[in-house]
Amino acid sequence: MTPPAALLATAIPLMRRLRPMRLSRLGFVPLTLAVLTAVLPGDGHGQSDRPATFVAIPDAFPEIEARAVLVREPGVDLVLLKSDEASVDALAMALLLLADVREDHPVTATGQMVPITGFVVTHPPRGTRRQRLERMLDRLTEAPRVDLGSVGWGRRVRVR
Amino acid sequence: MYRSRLGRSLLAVVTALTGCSDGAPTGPARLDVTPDPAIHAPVLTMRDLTLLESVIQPSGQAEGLAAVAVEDDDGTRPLQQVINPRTRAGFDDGYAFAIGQHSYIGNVGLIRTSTHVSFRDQHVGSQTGQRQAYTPFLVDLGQLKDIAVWPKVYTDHTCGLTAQGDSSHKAWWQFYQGRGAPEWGVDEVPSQAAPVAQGSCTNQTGTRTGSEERSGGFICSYFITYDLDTGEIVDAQLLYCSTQGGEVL
Repeated sequence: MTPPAALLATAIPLMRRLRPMRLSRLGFVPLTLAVLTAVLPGDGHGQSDRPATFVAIPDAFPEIEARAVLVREPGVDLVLLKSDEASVDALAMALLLLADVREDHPVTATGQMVPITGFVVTHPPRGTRRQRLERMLDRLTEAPRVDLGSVGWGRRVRVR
Repeated sequence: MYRSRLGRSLLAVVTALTGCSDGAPTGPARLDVTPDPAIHAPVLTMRDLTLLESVIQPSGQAEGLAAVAVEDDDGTRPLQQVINPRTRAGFDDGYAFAIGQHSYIGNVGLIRTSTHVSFRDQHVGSQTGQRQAYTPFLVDLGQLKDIAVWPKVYTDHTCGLTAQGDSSHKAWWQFYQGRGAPEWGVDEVPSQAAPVAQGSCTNQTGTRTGSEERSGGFICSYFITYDLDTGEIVDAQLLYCSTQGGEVL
């Protein structure tokens, strides 16, 4: 039985028992919500651990010596690639570093920027993983231009 | 009627809450429900990634001398000069470095040095440091001074890297500090360090040993934190180079 179904199976008989107590609907619904809120995982274990991840190619890449830049804000991880260097290797290395940064530096009250000045790929992605990255880049080049915020406009796709 | 309506409501609440706690997107529709991805990051420039240091070097003894100098100071000074400009690169425990230094005559000295790191003959990162020293014009009296800067590139690698460095050495005269202050006698000299290699990695063959699950390589990056409201940089860590590996997605 899946967790939601198990929860329903427990909660509905409980609610039936409560009916003879003549709880008003106004009192009943908040009680149900309170129970569910207490039982189900909150933000600490849910979405905040898995921020939405985007890859973007800004029209104007920051004027710094960098081949890619990671930007992290609460709920959002963004990989900025240079238009002329948006390769599978660059994307793979940026995503690998992103995973490491996520682990070492949880986003708190400040934003995070990680300019990647250079890399050398020693173990390139292969097989299905490489194909997924290639599809990602294909989607990115075909994506419409959107407002990326302080870095201006550019193409962006969500990858996770 | 009441029960079934309540059941549907409860089901909707449960579905919504469990959907949120899952974390993994379930399909294309889920991708549309995202936080606003318009970011507030600062627009970085190379100046943000350069170590800047400016120092004033007042000389306690010179203050007395300055009073004498002012009386018959006709505004001239000995010729400005950059002496013995040099850059040396190397490795120390946990970092690569380049030291740029020179001696100079003039009341302002500036040195700008970059440490460059390469891996397998590919450039992976540079850290630039700049230091400017100012001695008040009236107390300088043409003293010979030294200036140096040594930007570091931190790394946990003990083999396979090569460090290089270059510097721009500068000295001049200036009446007072500030933008638009008149300068004269600018002398600027470059220097370059010979490359220094860590040595090859004998225990790393560079061949694949795992399945397609693991990818990886060597990567250099800065780590900067910024205020989400103003975009101002709160903290910036120096360039760090390390090996990354794992599952890409």
